[in-house]
Amino acid sequence: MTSVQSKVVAVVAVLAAVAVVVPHTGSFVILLTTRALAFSILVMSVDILLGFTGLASMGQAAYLGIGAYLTAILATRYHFGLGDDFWLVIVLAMLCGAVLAAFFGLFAMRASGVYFLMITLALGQCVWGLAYRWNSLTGGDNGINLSQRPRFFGIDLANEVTFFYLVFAIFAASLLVMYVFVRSPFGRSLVGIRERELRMKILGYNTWLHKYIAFIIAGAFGGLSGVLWAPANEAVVKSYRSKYGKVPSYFSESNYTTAMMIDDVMKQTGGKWPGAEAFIAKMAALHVDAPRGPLSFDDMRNVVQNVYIKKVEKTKLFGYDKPELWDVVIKTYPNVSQFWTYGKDAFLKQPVYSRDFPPCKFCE
Amino acid sequence: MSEQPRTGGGQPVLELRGLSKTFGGLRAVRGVSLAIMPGDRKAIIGPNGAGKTTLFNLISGIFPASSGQVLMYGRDVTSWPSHRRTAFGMARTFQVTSLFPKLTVLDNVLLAIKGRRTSKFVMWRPLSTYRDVYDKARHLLHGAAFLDRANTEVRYLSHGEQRQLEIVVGLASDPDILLLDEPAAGLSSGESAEMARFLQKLDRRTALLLIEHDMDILFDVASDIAVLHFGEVVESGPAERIRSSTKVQEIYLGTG
Repeated sequence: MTSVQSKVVAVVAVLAAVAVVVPHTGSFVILLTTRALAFSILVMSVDILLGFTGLASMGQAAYLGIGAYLTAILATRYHFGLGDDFWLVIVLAMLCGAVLAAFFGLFAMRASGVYFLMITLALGQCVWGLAYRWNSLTGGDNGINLSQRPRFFGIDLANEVTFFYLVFAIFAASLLVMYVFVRSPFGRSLVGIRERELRMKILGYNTWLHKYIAFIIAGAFGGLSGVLWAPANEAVVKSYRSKYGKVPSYFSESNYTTAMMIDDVMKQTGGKWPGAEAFIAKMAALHVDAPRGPLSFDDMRNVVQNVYIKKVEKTKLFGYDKPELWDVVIKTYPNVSQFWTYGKDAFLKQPVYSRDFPPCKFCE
Repeated sequence: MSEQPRTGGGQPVLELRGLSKTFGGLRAVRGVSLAIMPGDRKAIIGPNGAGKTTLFNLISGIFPASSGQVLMYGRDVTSWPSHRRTAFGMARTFQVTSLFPKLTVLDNVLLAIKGRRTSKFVMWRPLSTYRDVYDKARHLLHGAAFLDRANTEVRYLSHGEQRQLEIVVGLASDPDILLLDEPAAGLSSGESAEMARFLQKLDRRTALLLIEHDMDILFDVASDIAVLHFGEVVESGPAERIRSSTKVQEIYLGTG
């Protein structure tokens, strides 16, 4: 058996082991492996550029970002991609990744070596900055809460094992595609370009074009990895309901989150009581990913959290089969502090709300 | 995409008209004109620094010309990128061996052959399924007695073997004209003689333009010689005439 063949056997054996063993582990391991597999698709796309073509592109995560945000925005704003149209989201994400790469490539490929690296880094940061600032679209640094996974050709992906298998299958398919790709004439030309680009030009290869195409393909796979990476887990609702027979209320969530925060602080101190002052300070500094969304405290120790405008709808949610009456989120105001859009100083100067000074008398 | 001008119709396969290259204040190549017909075997000689390799870089499209023209079969290719000239029938070897050191001998030749095929863009099929390309590669390697080393990585070959492979890789581009930049560079006298024999056996339909210092190769292979000195062609003609030219001797001995 040649060394290539033995490597293939080893990889297939490991993948088979993962596919068989992981579904029998706990929720955490399954979801971690799922995310790792999605991320691995991005890593393989980087390998095509860096490993095979010798192009050190530092902005490849931008394509995962595009794919992930596309999935989340389509799902939460346009209720698109939650059913059998999920495959369309996959196609769109790959297309978006490819188009973005085609656009960025025109700038990045005017340079080579370290300069190429710096330009791709800058472009990647542009995408990050845009995602961070465009609060109304992307939710800023809180992101978008994807509360459910799609149903894909009748298969319900809310089940984390089923979702794992889907991502695993797509990963395996991607691996196979790239395996053939790097052995194809085009793939071999990339290796030649990495080794000696001038030689390749003299041999008749339009090396700019080959590198540009490789860049676009890497972008497409980056987009794909983003789609698979985005669907979050909403295990809390289901496990609560299955344990207690009813859906968690505001109070149950409140208690759960409080307990979670105490747990976080005690983890920081290694289980030892740090004294009241230190405990308060640590708790005030927490940033928590609670079931209600991200949560933190302002400098007056008031909560900063998302505010959800909801509507009661009879619908299927959280992967349950029957439509029930749920509060469905129709708009999210991310990161609302006690002052929200009112300046802190202006607000504090105002008198306390009373009959003579009702809250909305001076609303803008 | 494929531009195959095999039949020149009486046109020179390569023609230079007043080709010049200036680097800032340095005039490296000055108004060089020459013509090579299909099947010709010409050499360019001259002391080091005469501009020979720069001339090759102009012809093969690595440097843009400052003025003048490069024509292939009457077509003005002066502004064409290197890969397009190769598609039109030009190939080139380098004075410092420019193979892919970590790839095998066979892989080097396969890449070279694929350079002239549109199938170089195919992504959905392994290269190993292209039987005809493999056959051609083996045929070329057999002709150069390299077949037994087809799976050896190039970096493990001797210098002399690499120089020969450099030419095989050039031939794999199916050229009408092959530019050879000091094929005997760094070879011992025994290897030189072998290189001379190797070059003589090459297909007569392929025109050769070589830069060389080695006398064996020069007079065994080239029928015409042009002498370059400070970027200019100072003399050109049949090999024998150049051999006995006193002017050329002066140039080489430093009194010219």
